[in-house]
Amino acid sequence: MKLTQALGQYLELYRASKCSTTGALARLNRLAADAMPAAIENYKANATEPYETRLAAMFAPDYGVNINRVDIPADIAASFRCGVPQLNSLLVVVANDIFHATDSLSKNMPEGMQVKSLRDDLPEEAAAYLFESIKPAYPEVLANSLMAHDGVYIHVDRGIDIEKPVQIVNIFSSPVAMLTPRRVLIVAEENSRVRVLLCDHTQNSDVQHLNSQVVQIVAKAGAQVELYDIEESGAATNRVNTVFADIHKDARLVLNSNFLHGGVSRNEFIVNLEGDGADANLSGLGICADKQMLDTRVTLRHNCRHGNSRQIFKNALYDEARGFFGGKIIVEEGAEHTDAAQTNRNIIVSEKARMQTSPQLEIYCDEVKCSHGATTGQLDERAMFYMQTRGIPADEARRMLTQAFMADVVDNISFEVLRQRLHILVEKRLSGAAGSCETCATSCRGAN
Amino acid sequence: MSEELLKVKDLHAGIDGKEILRGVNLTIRPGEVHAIMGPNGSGKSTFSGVLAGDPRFTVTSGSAFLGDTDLLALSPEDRSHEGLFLSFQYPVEIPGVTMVNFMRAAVNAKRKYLGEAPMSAADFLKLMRQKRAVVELDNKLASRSVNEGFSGGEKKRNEIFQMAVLEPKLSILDETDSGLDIDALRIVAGGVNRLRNQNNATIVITHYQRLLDYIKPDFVHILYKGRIVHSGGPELALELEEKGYDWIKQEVDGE
Ligand SMILES: Nc1ncnc2c1ncn2[C@@H]1O[C@H](COP(=O)(O)OP(=O)(O)O)[C@@H](O)[C@H]1O
Ligand SMILES: [Mg+2]
Repeated sequence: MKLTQALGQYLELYRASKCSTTGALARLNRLAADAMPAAIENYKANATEPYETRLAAMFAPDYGVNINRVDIPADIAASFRCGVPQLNSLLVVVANDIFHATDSLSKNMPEGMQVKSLRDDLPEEAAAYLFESIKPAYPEVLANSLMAHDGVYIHVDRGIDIEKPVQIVNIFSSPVAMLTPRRVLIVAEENSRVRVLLCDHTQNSDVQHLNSQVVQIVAKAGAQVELYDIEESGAATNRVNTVFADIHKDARLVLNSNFLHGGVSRNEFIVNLEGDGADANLSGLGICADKQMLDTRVTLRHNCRHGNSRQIFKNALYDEARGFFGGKIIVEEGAEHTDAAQTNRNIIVSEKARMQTSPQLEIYCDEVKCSHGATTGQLDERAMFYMQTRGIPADEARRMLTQAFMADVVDNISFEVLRQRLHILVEKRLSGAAGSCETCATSCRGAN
Repeated sequence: MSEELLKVKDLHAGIDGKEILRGVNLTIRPGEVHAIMGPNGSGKSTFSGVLAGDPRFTVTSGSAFLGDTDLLALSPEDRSHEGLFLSFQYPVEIPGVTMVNFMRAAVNAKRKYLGEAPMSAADFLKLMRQKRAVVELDNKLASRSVNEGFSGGEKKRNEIFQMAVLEPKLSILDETDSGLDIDALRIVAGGVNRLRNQNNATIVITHYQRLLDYIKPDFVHILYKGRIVHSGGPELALELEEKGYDWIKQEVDGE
């Protein structure tokens, strides 16, 4: 199917239906509708990208859209517990595309912080940030912007350090195939600090879902924003996720994205280091089995002096799983003393699994330190044999080696509760405990 | 139960179509120590690898039984569970897997094979402490990745430590003496001797008499070009030490 048809169906739907939004979101919908036809017309998929995760393929199925804002039963929403307990977080539940504040949020909102629905009154600045996402180069973001009717807005005042993490639990629950547009906007004022944890779960894991997600992060001078993401949805839940981050002077971004379970997941990180001394630390791991597919794309743009960026992405691919990594580092003219490093390492555990990686450097400046490396290989056969001679069964040896391979990504996480929990989640996932959402390691449902 | 602990008959094995073992015969009874010597490239490591189930090698004919167990029919892990242990000539480094997790997995896998419950944390720590003492291995190594950054001596002591934990029926020590200074050699040999009893047996693969001064063999075999070409008592090792391998090579190649 062509992109015109794939995305055009949603544009038609938008035009034919009565808009449920007001204010900034209505404006966002309209801007997207205006920009879409030309964007679709001019869009060209990159020659190197895999067919499965091209926009035309991802948006091709005839998904329903929750135009009437039908909410899911509250008890279902309430029955979900995230896999990261004892977090003592400020919890938001997004049921399909509808924002639910929880008691933990409304009763504990720290001074100097706002966490609210994008349907609420937004300051003009926040609305302006939303509109900035309307870029012709990203039709998937336009599609999301066209249909977005809710979302999460997080704002931290100047100089405020929020110790408690904000946790956004995304739940899919629908008896029929559905596309869910999700938005998150995080604005950290000067010298503030905030940590956000996102996780995806599916209730009806046999029903097709498309999670269309756009996350925007603004870290103003000296601010620190950390965004962690755990994808643990059903095998029929696909995702097109775009994260935009603008990092200003001496500000710092930590982005960590983990694929533990899901369907076809496409994740694009567009990070701009805009102010001198800006710093970005990107990491991710993917454990893909069956016919799962993880597609990770990074565009890291150094547009400042003394910018620093680190990237490490690791994948382990089983069965017929596929992986793609497209990482681009751009060092703009005048971005002196840039220090950028990117690493992508993959392990192909089963013969039929595939990995494709395409790193790129575009450097328009001297005086920079830039490195990138990508490797794809198998588990160390010598290590396998050594472990087996000690009586460790092949499957367990394989699991231990894969876990060891992933360990540095997890160890790198400074958010301690999450780090510990993720070690366990990775171990459980590798021991095959999470075949579907119902049996998944986090037992986020039912457990209380 | 047969009298023999290990019985290898006319074993042929190779790699990528190239034959390395060309008919090895060896019988070992409980309580015995056998030394296998021979020039580099004779097939000593191949022989130990084939017994342990190294997937790089293909067995083309012959048999190998550990007691009544057909070794060649088992996976490497089951060979271990049945009581075979290989101390590697080159122990493998495993970044990211700590010694303690590695050993716990090994111990509990064997218990599972034997139908026993996993060992309690306290018992496991006690076991580790006891067995470390056999080769005076530093406790600090427990939290380190397997063999990663270990000195040559630490790697070899680590092999014997694992052997002490697993209490095999048959241990094959492949050049466990190479790269050891005299103190380390004494510790390693002392460890091996402490683990010896009436019911188990040891194959010591070595180039040098040095190790055999500490671990006294009952039999000495010379492996050359994939065959055991000479067998004798401990005096054979002394003869080799004196005369080198040339006479063996002449004897075999000259025919
Ligand atoms: N992995 C391998 N690939 C190819 N040839 C090998 C391999 N391992 C051993 N060989 C060959 O097999 C022969 C015996 O080697 P090896 O068993 O290591 O001898 P030893 O331990 O007696 O020195 C040598 O010719 C060696 O080159
Ligand atoms: Mg050798």
